[in-house]
Amino acid sequence: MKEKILLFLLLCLELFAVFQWFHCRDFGGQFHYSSSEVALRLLDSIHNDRNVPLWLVRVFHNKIAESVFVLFAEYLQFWNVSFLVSFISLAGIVGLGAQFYQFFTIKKKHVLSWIVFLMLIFVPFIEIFASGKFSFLFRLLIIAFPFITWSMMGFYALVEKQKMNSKIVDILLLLSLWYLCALHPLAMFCTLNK
Amino acid sequence: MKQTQILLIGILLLASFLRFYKIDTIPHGLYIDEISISYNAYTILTKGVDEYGVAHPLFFKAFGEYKMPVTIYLTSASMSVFGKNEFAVRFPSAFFGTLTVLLLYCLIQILFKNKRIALLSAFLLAISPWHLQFSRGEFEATIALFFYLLGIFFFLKFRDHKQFRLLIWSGLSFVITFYTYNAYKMITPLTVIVGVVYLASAFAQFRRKLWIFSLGICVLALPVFLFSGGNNRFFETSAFSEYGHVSFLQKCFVYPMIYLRNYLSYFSLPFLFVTNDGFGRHTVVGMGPLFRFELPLFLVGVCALWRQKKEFGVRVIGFLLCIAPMAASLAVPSPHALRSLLMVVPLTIIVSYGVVAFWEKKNKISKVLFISFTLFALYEYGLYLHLYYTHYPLRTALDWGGEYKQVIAEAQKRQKQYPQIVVNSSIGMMPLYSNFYAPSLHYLFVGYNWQKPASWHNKKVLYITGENTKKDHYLQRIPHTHLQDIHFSNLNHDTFARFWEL
Repeated sequence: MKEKILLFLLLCLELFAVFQWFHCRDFGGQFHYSSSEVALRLLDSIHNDRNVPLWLVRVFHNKIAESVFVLFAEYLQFWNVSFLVSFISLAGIVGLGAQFYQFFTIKKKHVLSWIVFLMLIFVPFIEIFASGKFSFLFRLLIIAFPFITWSMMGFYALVEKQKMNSKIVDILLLLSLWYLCALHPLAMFCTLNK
Repeated sequence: MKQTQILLIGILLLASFLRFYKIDTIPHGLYIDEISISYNAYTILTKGVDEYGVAHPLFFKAFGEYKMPVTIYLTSASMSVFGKNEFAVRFPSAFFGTLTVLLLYCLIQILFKNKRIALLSAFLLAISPWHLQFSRGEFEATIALFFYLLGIFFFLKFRDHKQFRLLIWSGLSFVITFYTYNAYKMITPLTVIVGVVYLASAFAQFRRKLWIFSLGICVLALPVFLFSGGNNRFFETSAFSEYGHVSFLQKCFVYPMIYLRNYLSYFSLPFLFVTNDGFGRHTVVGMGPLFRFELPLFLVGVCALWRQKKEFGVRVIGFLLCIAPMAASLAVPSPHALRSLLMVVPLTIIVSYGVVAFWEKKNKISKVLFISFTLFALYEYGLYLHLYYTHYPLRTALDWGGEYKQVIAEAQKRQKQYPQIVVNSSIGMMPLYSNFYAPSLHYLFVGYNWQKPASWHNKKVLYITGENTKKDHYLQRIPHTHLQDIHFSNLNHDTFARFWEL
């Protein structure tokens, strides 16, 4: 019973962390792909290539490579520890990590795990490419869903299956609340409503 | 000669080539700390005193932040061999950076007894942008990293061989870290405490000797904690300074979380693989401290190591990874690539583990993926070299002080023509740079309100300023002739200094 209460509290905490984002207008920082940004970066790079053979400039500064690097940077923002702490709380990250470990070490994976895993991997692309097409609240919920689910699956595995010491989870809960209250971690990644 | 030895020699040659090639010109000029270190090193070498006239000091006042002595004395030794030039200034960092590659190989051999991982780690450290960046400039952290790893190396040797002299070498190496870089005032004691607790049984047979040894180490280390005088610098960069005005209770509530936030920032993937910390002296724009191709290998490595989490070697790697940003997290800005340089060691080992784990998978998909990674790695390394040798000197002209050297050289050329040289304080670091590059250059360093004295009426004056004529109201009022400009090496050719005849 205690384990179930703990899981419920963890879920509440993660939902509370996401709820704070409702005040935002958009994700702030480098989350969104923009072809004009790629073009600008390319121009900047090419202009720095003085006395460099043209073939070398083309090899290192072309649209394909630059787009891949920009996408990589934007995708990685969703796995930025500081972002995740503000998005699904400190405890949420532990859950995420635990579930990743479970997922990659267990040979027979549940279909549900696969579905959530694929969602988790691909859902950031919605934000990267379609930020202007849907409202922020809609995108926020779409993105938060797999992150929270995956994290809770991790905690379920830790608490229910591996009988992790519940005191550790208690401390984690307290620490996460403390972090959320003491600092305002959202500020770095949130464009506030005017 | 065995294949492993040939490979290791090849890796060391590569490491030294990457660290020493064009080291005197790229990065572009000596930055202000390098100048301070080298000037003190030079005065120690020639007169036996620091810039303030203190004979053979243990701590160097420098800008008031009190620099640690090891780097300065090493630079002094390097200058005695190579002369007073950029190569000599940067030689200690590059030299110990190269040795760190060899040391990492030896360390991993002890920890994992796996030549493949040891060679791979040494190779990855040899080409690591993080380690290269700080080996090619005079950074105390690079030298401290070497001595820290040397301390661990001897400590682990002691664990295996139970020879007391190994413990003495370990202790001495650790003490040197205290005198090299401030961050190790925290990292080294924590390492020693954990090491002693973990290996308590190994010390049982040396109980009596150990007391004397511990006392000796404490005596050697004590001056750092009592007299190093680095408090000003600590408070300047402290992550908590902005909360100095709040009550004690509030501090207790907020400080731990600030520390935690800073600590976590060092594990942020964008910092590690994309942006770095954004400082021009630490960052090659477009590259993180680790290569992008290392990310999947890093993840595979984490999984592979986690499965063997009870092994001693894995625990040591985990410990190093946890402890590396501990001191750096006390300061702002966070993350900071220089203060957390130690992270490069465990991260490199984890990536190497990932490469081996990947390679050992027998299925075809893994092989294809491995080949793809190799091709991408080659491309990214080529890109890194291109960015470092072509873009970096242009982009970071403001961060390094190459233009000061030019200004001083030009002023020296014109010294005979002009009995009076006046340098405006808009070229703020001029006195420091001229102390190092041309102590014989005589000039007057003046503020913004300076006016040509009446007694100089007939004298030709060389006036050097960073301002343009429109901003310099005095120049607008008196006759002046433009002589030349010194430009930044950046894309816009921004003007660094203007030479006028008054």
